Amino acid sequence: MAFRPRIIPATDFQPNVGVGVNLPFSNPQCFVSNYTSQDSLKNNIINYFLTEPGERPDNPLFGGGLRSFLFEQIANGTFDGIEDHITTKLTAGFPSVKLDKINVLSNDSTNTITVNITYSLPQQGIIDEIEINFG
Amino acid sequence: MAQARDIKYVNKDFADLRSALINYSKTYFPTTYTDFSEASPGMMFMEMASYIGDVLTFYQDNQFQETFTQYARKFENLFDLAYVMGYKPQVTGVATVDLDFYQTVPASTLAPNIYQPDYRYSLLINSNVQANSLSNSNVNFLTEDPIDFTVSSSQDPTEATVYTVDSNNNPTSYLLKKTRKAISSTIKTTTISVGNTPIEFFTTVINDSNIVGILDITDADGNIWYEVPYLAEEMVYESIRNTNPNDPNNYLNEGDAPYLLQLKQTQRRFAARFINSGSLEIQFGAGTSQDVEEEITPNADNVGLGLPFEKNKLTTAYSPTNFIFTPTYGIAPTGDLTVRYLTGGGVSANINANTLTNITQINKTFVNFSSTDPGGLYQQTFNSVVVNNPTAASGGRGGDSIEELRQNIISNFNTQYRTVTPDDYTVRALSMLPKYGKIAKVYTEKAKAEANTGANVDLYVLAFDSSSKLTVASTTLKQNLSTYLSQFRTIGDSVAIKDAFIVNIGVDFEIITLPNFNSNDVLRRCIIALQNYFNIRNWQINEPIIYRNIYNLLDKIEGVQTVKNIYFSNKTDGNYSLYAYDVEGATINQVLYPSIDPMVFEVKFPNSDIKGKVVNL
Repeated sequence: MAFRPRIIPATDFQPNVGVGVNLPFSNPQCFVSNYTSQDSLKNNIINYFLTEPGERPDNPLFGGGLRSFLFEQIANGTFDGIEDHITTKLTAGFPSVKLDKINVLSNDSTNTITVNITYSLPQQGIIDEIEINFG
Repeated sequence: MAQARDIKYVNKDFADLRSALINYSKTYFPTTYTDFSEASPGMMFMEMASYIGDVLTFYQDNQFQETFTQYARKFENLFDLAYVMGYKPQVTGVATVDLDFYQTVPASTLAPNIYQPDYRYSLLINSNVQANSLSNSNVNFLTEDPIDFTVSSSQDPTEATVYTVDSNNNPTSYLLKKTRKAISSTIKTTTISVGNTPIEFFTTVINDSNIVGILDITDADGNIWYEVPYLAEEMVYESIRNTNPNDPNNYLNEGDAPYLLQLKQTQRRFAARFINSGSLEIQFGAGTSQDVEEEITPNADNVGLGLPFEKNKLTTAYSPTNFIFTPTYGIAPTGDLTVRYLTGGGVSANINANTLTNITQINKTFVNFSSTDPGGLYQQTFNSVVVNNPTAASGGRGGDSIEELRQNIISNFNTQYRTVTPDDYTVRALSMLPKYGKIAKVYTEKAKAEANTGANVDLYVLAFDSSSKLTVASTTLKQNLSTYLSQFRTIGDSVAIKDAFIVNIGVDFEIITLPNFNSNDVLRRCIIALQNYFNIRNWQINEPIIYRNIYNLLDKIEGVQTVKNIYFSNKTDGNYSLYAYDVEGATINQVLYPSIDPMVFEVKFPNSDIKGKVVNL
């Protein structure tokens, strides 16, 4: 039987070695380190979708560009557009990440939508989920 | 205590700085942060820091670049650099034109049936005559020099022609004509209120377009304030008419040098500098009118070692033009100052010929006015002044471009208002204003040891007489030249102004003409070519005559088959120079060499001194 080994980043074997920085930045220490590649990837994806293309110096294509949907009508067509957009952007920005599922949910009373992204890193055996609220 | 860390200071751009920050984090914070992918929030901060570093280094480079004449791109910085290097930038280029001024004078009788202009009616027209075109009144032209119809010299001739005749065809009036350079400028006036309390280094700015420069500044008491290149400069030139009352020793040379040049030490002075193309900054000094330091006599107590911090003064560079050491840099003004300044120039100022006929401003007076005015002749003469430009104005253009500024600054840096090389002396002598006398030829050389004159630089000069023939310069002209050069002379130089020798020569040549050519025509063309070649304006002191050049010149003339012989002879009789020269002895290998003492060869009368002959083979 074929066996596909998991590829575990070296830093995950060193629990005292910081990998990235958690979002959001918090008081009082502002920067809170995370210590696993899974947490780091999650924060990176959040950071990616919170960044608008053109916002990053010297890297104009970087960013998820979700703000373009801010003033769109809450309708099925918009939801489809958001799903397509996230799929495209996530594939471009994170080639090793596999998008498993996207749920776009609306909350009419607060005029907000919630995007649930379920993704996985097959090589590392990681499955995780992100929730982004905007409106 | 800060730890010693290896910081790279050579990174200049975003990618370099980003890479350096990643390396720095990996080196010094290996356990704090390890995710250097572009999506990481930590990388966002590193890239922002790199971005700021890139921007800062850009501005640093830009600022550094602006300190170099070769690379500066902002006009304001180039203007500053120009003044540091001694170049005065121009924000507009004025057009220049020759203006012919005419006035009529009655005829007077020298003897029965011999008439001449009555110069008692000659006018003196002050500088700053303003004229414009009736069809284009926007472009004004301004004369810089006064016009004195009583004076006539080779450099400033007064042409007289018969204007009207009576029934017997005898002249009843003459038309006098003089020519002056005029520039396309308009005089504008503004008032600056300083207040009753002097302000040290009072500075004000005139904002206008196409400012040519400051014409003059006067205060409420009528005192004139003089423009100096920098406030430490306290000597200014002043000119007075060369007349008997003004200078009994020199007035006989009035025709040669109509004005005497004098140096004047002035407390009332200002420096003007452009801060941009539309703003001229004027700065005054810091002293008071009672400040005795302005007129101190230099001695050991007030110059150099006598000053405080004397050790620092050991290496002070003293300017010979500012030998008196004063900290006041001129006095600070009070009250209202009236500033007259010039604006104008530009391409539109290059107006056509015969269009400047409208005098808009003129200040004229009679030199020899008599209270009796027979038949209203004085009034008639006074009103007779007219003006015209026989040629089109030229030279009007915009101000210095960035590249022009760079080139002018670099070239000006070498001179720095000083005469150092022989060429500096030559150019400076030739640049003296004509009203102080015009130098025709200059030759500078290191003084000969055997001359024992005490000078280390000999300046040999010659002038033109009224017929544009070379003559020795008058003592007045040499005195004006000496005064003029004193401001540029380096302290170690002692200049003796001497007369160069004039050697008059005649040219005889023999040619063989080609068949089918008219010999007389060919001969005429040869003579004209030689007259042009020996035009004295093209010859310099100590320039040898090279036979080969003349052979080549004649050989190229249509119809000349062969130049058989060329002979030079020395002309010394009658109207020629007194100095004889052994032409034959000075000719070696077909080159006629000048003497050891500086001299110039002159064909004084080209119509008679150049003779040719057509001979047969």
